[in-house]
Amino acid sequence: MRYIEPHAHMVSRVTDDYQQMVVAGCAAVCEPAFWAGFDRSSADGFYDYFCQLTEHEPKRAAKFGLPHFSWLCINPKESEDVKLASDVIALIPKFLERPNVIGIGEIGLNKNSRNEMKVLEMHVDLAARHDQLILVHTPHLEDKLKGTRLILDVLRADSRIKPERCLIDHVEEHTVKMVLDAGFWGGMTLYPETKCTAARAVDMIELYSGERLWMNSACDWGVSVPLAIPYAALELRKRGHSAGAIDRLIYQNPKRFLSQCVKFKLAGEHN
Amino acid sequence: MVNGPRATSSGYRIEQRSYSDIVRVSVIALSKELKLCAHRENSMLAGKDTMIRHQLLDLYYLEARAKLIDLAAFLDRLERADGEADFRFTAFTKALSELQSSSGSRAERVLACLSDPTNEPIALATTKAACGAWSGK
Repeated sequence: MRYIEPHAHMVSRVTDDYQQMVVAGCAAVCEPAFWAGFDRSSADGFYDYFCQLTEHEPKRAAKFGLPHFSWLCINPKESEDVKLASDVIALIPKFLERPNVIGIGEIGLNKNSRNEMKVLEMHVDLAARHDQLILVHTPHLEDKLKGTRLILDVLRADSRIKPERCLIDHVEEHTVKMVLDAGFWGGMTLYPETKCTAARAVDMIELYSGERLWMNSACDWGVSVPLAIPYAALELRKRGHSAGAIDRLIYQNPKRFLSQCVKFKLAGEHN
Repeated sequence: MVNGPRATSSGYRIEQRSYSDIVRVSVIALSKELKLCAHRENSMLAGKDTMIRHQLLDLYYLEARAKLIDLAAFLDRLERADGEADFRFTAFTKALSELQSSSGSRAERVLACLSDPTNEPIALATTKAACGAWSGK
């Protein structure tokens, strides 16, 4: 079995996780910029974080032969401070040329506030100006439905944005249809309690087709499972899906989306 | 061929059938399985269920049963406790009623019961956390 982990916060994980992911068949890992669990006090903190995502973490993954890619942004959880967000967004262009940076993310909303909306629009503008892929975080729990609607409104309002180059992450049963109907890709995050179980993810694949869906673990410093995708593959197998169909979902689909960025190359592939 | 049911060593009773019956039933079952396999092969991108109800019950019944009992015990625990419940319990109770609905999309409707139904951005985010139900504010 081979798979791509398209969303994992590896800076929060121990090295053993890299080892186990590779043993399980992971062929590449993609790491969106994330909230550290506490608010960073200045843009300088984000500069260091972006260096970690683009210099240190790829080296850590490379020890296991695992290609590591990054998405950059200020996470929606820190978007209430628009001045700080502006300062951080101004840092990003100089990092976009780095070899493992594949897009802007995970942008989006958290509590659906007006300032979060402003910062989302700033990120979307940044992505459009630099022709970047976009990875969007949708809010948690009670805020997801409204937040997903607002996010889709922002993306659709910008004529420069191509839906096929945007992935709306953390979809669940009440949001997946609106995301796919609007032409975007959808991500299903496999968490033990919040977000989505493997069984529910397979339900959505069977209901809505897996053409523009991927699964991810979104493993971070909270309760999460770095091997969630291999476990979901087991669920797919138990549900009677063929090895070819599983490969299409957990390897070929993320590869198809991510390869829209020319920098996304797997081991053995060259420009 | 022996007519009528007989007891097995495990206590179950099975119908005795002729070899031709057994072969006929096996061929039909194999044919159904092959059709199902072909269907499964194409299912990932075609957007179709892969299993029949009996297979889904085999796979998920015990897990769902355990979750159902956990839910019942959670409600009992809340009932035994002192103090007032809050908006989360109100939303939870409303969502529970969706489980008894005869139409599909129960998961979607349960999630909707637990969601903020409004459309306008809030003025200010005063917390980062979500609690799993909309407070109405």
